[in-house]
Amino acid sequence: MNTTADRGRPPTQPAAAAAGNNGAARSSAGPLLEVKNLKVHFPVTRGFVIQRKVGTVKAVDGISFTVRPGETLGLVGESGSGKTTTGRAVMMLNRPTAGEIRFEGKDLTGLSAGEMRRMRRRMGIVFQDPQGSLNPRMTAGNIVGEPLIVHRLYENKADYRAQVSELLHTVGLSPAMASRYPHEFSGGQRQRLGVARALAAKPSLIVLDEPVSALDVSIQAQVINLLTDLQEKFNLAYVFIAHDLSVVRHISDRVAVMYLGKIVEIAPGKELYSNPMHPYTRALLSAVPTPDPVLERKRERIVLQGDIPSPLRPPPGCVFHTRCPMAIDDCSRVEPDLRELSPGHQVACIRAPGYGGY
Amino acid sequence: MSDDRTGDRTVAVEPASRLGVTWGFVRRYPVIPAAIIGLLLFTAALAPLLAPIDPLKADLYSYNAPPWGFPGGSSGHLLGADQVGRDILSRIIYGARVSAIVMAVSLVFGIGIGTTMGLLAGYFGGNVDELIMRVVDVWAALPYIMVALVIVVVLGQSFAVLIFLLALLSWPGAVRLVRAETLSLKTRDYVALARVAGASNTRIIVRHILPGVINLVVVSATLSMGSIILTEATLSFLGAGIPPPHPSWGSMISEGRRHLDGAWWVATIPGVCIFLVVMAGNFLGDWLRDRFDPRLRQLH
Repeated sequence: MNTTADRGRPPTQPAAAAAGNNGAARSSAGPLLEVKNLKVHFPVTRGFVIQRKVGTVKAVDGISFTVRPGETLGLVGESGSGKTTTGRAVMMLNRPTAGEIRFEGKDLTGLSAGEMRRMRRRMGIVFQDPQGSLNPRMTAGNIVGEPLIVHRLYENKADYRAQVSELLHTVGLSPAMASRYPHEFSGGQRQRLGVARALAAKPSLIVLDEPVSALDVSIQAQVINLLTDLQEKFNLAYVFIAHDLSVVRHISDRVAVMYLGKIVEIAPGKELYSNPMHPYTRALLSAVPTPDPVLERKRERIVLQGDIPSPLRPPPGCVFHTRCPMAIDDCSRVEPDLRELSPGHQVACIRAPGYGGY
Repeated sequence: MSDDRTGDRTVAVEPASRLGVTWGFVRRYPVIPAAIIGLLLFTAALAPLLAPIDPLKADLYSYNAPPWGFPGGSSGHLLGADQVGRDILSRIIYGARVSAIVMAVSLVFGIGIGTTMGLLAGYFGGNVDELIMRVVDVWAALPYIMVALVIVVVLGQSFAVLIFLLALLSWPGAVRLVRAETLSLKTRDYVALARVAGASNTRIIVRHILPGVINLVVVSATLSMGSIILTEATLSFLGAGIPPPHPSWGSMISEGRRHLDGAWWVATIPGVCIFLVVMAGNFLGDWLRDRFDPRLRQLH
């Protein structure tokens, strides 16, 4: 029973005691995750046998952000903006082409495979598709317990079973379900399993890649509430990737808006929603419907023309100028960098008030 | 009514007759295919004890004797005799040894080597993939019968050489199959999650990819049993297989083929044996595939 009681404590304490270095790095006030100038490019090759490179998809092209312990960073943008690639790169599932990913003080891009495997204890990820995230041939218990097995985080079989039961209980599932297979769960329950699994090794950071997009609205709320409860309980930091701004607003401390592989605006959640500075952010926000029909009719909508340009050939200058309602000639010449225009509010737009010279 | 039924069922079940219970069991489990394969293995293992007559003993008085029960047939040769009067039943029993060993070899090599190579090629990709797949391509492009004949000419005709040839034939198909499935499985989210969890390549392959491909391999191996037995027959017919006069089902068909109009039993009886074994293999493979898939396991 002792082990069961242990699970109730915030995960940072026993983990910090076990891994001294990591603990020390985290106790300092620095960020938990620091991404600097991250680039993820995919080569496009053509030809049979003799392949030649015909281009590069710049899925993520030089982005920087930080996540503090216990904080939620929302990552929004339309499809193709590089949100998911960013999340996967942070987990080192896509090798970054350039840039730095410092997690708990260590640059992940320079780690050997073995060191990386040990670091993975401290991070988790939840994918959008709860069905595909679970191996159909493993029982729920084994799926949730896999990180425990991989990192030998149990003393004996009884301890393992107790930990798995506790994990299932934590995410609101019955421990008796451990022997079931994924197809015997509902969509929401499967996503809970995914969360339980991400929690198993007591991580400090979880990347949530559209964790509720595949779920019913009623189930979405349950899972979001579960996530916020768990964050409080275990002092987790989240990178919350979504295209649904209302969901992001509910859960995020800060929000980063991505467009074509770049971050165009980062601001504290409230600030971003009340005072969006980048025209793309404004267009995104104007697309969120209001439940009040009177307000809804009066709502000003900024409808963007055309589609997001191909990341194979991003436009010169500001990547958004092709669709921007307030673009000027300079926009196609100057590549704007993120500048802090008010405390914690960074914008990459030369037309933003107070952006200054370029 | 069987007395082992418990009384606490909530749904009123019609009392099943003993016959009904048996029928349900036969429908649910591959009883008949398992019995056929079991009989094959049993016969192969105990051939000298089971065979009524020496399978090599020619008896010209019984030249093309029909099976017992047919006009001219006698209980001396239950399944008849061939064109030199050898007892077909005894030859079938001894021929079962060849078929059993050939099947075992095709399973071991197809599943063992084929799966391993396919997993490595599919999972690691790159140069490993190139190397393995080029070997497979080259192997598939070789005129197999030619190569087999050359090898037999060089090494001489023997049972060991035959097994070696069949082993060489059995794995490339499995490699392609496993590689293709591995390529698809390794992009699944749960494989990425296993990697995020810190699982090693070995663990990912063994725990997450292998369970997804093994059913394919087993099914394809059981399906290929038939073609392997037929290949053995082809090689025996060409003189690259079991050295005559030792019996194998394939060579029995080859020999009896010419007498189909007069003595149909000489070729038909081993043909029926091959048919039954191949069908049994297919049914077993089918059942195994369902057992491997948890989604189908609950369906009865």
